Amino acid sequence: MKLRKYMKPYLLWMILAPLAMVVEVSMDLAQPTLMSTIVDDGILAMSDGAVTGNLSVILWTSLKMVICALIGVAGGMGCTYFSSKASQNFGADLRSDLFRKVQSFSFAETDKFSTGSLVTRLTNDVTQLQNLLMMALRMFIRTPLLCFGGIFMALSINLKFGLILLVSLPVMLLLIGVIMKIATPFFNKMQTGIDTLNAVFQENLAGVRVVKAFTREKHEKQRFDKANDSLTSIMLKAMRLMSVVSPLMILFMNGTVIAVIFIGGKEVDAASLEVGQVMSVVTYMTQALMSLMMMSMMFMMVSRAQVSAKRVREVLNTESSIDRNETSVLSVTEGTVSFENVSFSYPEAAGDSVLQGINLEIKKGEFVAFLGATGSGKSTLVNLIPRFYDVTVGAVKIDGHDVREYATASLRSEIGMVLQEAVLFSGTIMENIKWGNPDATDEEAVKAAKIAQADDFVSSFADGYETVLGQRGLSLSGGQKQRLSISRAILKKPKIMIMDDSTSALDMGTEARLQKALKENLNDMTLIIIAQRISSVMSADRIVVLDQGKIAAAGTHEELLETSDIYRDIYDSQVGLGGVEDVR
Amino acid sequence: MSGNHPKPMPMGPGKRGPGGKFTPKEKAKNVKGTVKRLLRYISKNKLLLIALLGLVILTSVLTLLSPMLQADAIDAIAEKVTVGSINGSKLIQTLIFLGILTLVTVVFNAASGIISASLSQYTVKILRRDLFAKIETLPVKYFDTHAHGDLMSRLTNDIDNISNTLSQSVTAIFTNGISVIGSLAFMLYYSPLMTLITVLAVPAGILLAKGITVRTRKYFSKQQTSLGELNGHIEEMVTGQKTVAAFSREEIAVEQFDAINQHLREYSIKAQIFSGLLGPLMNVISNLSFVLVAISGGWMAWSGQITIGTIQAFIQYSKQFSRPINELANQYNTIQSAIAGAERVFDIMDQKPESDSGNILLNLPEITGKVDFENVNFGYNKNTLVLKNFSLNVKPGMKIALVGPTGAGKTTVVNLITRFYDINSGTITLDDINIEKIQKSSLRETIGIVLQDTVLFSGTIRDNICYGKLDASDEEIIAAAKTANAHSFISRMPDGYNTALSEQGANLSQGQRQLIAIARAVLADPKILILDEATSSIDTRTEMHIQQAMIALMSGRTSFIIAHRLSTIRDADAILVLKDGRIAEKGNHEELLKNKGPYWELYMTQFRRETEDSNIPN
Repeated sequence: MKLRKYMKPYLLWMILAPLAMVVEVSMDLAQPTLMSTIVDDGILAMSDGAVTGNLSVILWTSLKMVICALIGVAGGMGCTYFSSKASQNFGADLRSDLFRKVQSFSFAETDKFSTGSLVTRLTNDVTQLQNLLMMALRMFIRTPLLCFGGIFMALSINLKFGLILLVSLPVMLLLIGVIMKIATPFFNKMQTGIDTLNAVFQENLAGVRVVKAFTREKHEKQRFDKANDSLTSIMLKAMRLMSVVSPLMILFMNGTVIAVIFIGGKEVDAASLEVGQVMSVVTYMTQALMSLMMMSMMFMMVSRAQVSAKRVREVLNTESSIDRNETSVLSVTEGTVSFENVSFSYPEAAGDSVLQGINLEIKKGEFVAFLGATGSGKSTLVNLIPRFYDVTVGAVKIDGHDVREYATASLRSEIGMVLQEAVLFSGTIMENIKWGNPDATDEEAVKAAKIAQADDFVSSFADGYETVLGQRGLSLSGGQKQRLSISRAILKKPKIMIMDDSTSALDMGTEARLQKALKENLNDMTLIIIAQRISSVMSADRIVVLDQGKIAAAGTHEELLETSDIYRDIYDSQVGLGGVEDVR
Repeated sequence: MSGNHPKPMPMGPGKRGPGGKFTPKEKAKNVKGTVKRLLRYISKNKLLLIALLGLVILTSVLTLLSPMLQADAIDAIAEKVTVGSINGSKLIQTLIFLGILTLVTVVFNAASGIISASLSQYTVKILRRDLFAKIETLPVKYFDTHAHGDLMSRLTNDIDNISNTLSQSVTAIFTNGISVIGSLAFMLYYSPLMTLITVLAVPAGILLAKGITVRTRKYFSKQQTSLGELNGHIEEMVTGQKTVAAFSREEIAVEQFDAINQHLREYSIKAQIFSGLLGPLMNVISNLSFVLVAISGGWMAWSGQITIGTIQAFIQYSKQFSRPINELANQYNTIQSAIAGAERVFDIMDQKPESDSGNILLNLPEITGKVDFENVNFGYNKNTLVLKNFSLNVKPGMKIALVGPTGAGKTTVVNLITRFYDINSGTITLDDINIEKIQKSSLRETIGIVLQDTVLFSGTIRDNICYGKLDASDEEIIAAAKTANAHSFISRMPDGYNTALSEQGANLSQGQRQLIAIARAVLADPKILILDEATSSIDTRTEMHIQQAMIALMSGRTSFIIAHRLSTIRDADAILVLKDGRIAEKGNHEELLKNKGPYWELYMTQFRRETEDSNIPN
């Protein structure tokens, strides 16, 4: 229960909230008793054997009732105030810690959860917990108090009413239990039904061209109707069950009331009870049983929130697999990279290692390209350099030092990494480029954009570098995004630049100009690229062909054409048979 | 920003959360029309509807009788004081009545619950069915221009909303309405004076609630805004977490987060406090009206104008009077958003379906696959033409490759042959019949397509291949899979052809998925085949393995190959280089290279560096 930690700072409020609620509930509980005083000692007051009534008792008691009501509302407002403060602060703190945690994750952890799931955990799940805490501080106190308080008050008036409770309470509990037991599988089935229906719908939206081209509209309608029918029948069963529940509860409650009046009548006849007291017991009993029903709903709420708590705790309990080594003073000065007997496998992943026994030296200023089929391990290999993952066996060294000896922030500040997925953030183009170096001047940023071949299209926008990107702003094409994320990395002036298949959407001409500009402007920089296209790698100093996690061949384009079957295969598949590329 | 990840889940106090009713709700534009239409759907089950209304009215009236009987019982007991002993026979008699009444009410209640469940579910089922049937008739253009997430939410959220409202609100409106009127009548019957006092307390409560609600709404909308901002930030930073890490921007991200989180914290505390106040305040009003009833009732009973039982009855009636008013106010928002949802659903149903004026039915075996474009002009919108004066004659069985830059109109050609879109002017003919005169379904039966993003459906591999021909035999399916080079990998899977595809076919590789799509097309045995960037998302070596399957698929069919990176281009009978909606050049690979025109340029751009280094043959 690590979540308890987040409640601690607000412990005072968390204690005050239920206390205030106790005040409100006790005032609520006092009302029927006061009412019975009005009846018995006021209206039905006897003097000299006749009912004469007592107006001053009526007025005084009414005044007490007003005071009680006012104290009650003060308690209620207090509870609201304290519980709001406690729960919202709890939620904000929890969210903040979660966010920090996620920011500290290495790629291994991010992959494990998937970003979509992390977003849900930070938003939806936290809200669930926050709401639960608030409800708990309010209703979880109020309901049992009303329930047991009511029972207590009824019993204190006359113990005989306990007989009724002895029967009705267990039956009511049993009823609730049985219904919940029957209902749960229905609700699970309902979810499956909804999922199936949504899947058919989703497929038809995504595959509308296929459906239409194969003229399968009728077939799809049948598929949908089938899913629709089965969902409807499950829903009906569940809802019919539920619609019997509340009348049963009412039956029970009214039965109890009848019993109370009956026994109460007998007691009044035996002069051991007064009329007004019977009336108040009716009210107490109704309140108690109503609260019981509410309590069953609360249990369902808790079980739902437990799932959220588990999901949140999973994130909090995950430690980043990378030690950030913040005290290290080592810094990258040259930019040589060497892989020494590197093997890597993803944690918890079955099967072969992604990389096996990689040995490779990359010199300062060298241009090295990795080529290979999807799944050959190219991406993983370069991700080891900035320590997005740590090696399983062996070592990756920069300037002769193991990357694990550097402080990660210092290490990454000298590595310009352009990821496969070009992610830009909301803000202007200029702001996005300056991610690479917040202190850079506008001129430097424009120069980086020029090298990345992005200046032309950015200048063509009406607002140029001040064009706003993002959900409400302009959306860019894949190639444009790639060039901006390259600009961003260039602005860092890194010692080592890594481009992970990040020119795939550029045409050949642009890519060639980009590579040329990189060489001309940043000659000392070590350049490592991953690509699918032969044309992207041909001008590299060295091409490394990866196959199933191992280096299959390395050399220049010409050498590889001579020596490597795989390389020739790839070459033939793209060039030999005459592939033609998009040219923008 | 990368555009593909799902929108952040709507957060904050949802329907169940406290104060959810204060979040600003969208309103329907045409409430009257929408309600009328919804009613038409509901009244498709007229019998159920009538039965439900009858039961609800009956139940509500019966429920109103209960406090009256309770009052009688209390009075019978009170005779102990006034007369000297309780009126035992009257008490038992009343209690028996009360018992019978309860039993009957409960039975009616259950019955009306069951009927209302059936009514809402049947209505929603028809609504869903109609919505989907409509979706199936809409033109491709509709799907190209509307966000799928939005359409999805109409089927799920909006219809859910309607369903909930139907099953709860409709009954609630009647029950509560009758409850208010009935208890008012009973109260008047018992004591007009006390009624006046009680009724006065109600508007006071409503006014108070309104005052708080206005304030609450203000803070809630601020809370929602900062929540949206925060979720946006979380979404962006978590989705782009790898980029954040690559640039060591974690600390800045956290700082920005903290600032927004702080705002949210302040607003949400205020919003929650104000919305939470409503409960206790309503409670105090109900308590004060209880006091009013007690004082006035006490005084009137003391002066002998009413009996004690009347006070008991009054207390209950005044509760039955004020509670439904609150509930109706709550229902208002639910109903409002359900109507807005219904409007969105009906909006789809009002879309123009794909028109089909063609009535010629093709005799499939006789179709040769001759396709001709004559002076075709076409644009996705009025202003810009994508194809200009486009003419093309394709002989049966020819392989036509379309190449050219993005936006040149390659995919458009496909959209037109299939009549996913209709041309502005000119003619397209199939076997010399204008395709506009051919029934669309008949036309499309002659066409098979394989797309870049393989579309597979949930179900087994067999189901998916079968999609090409629903009544195919096992032999036909296996034969198609063999032609597509898919048989061997399918056979290796533990469940073979009965392997269920996981969501979006995730348990298969890209290449395998594409092979299944090819098998599907083979089984359909179309006269015309369209390969739209069919191998673009596969790496080149995998593509080589699919190549054979592609060639087998194309043999004997008129084929259109849209190329991004396609090796079969060289073997195409004709390669069309499209540029700005026109055919810039046409010919086979060798001819075009000899021409040294746009195709040669395209080809050479790819190998410019080689030609400069000049050591590559060809």
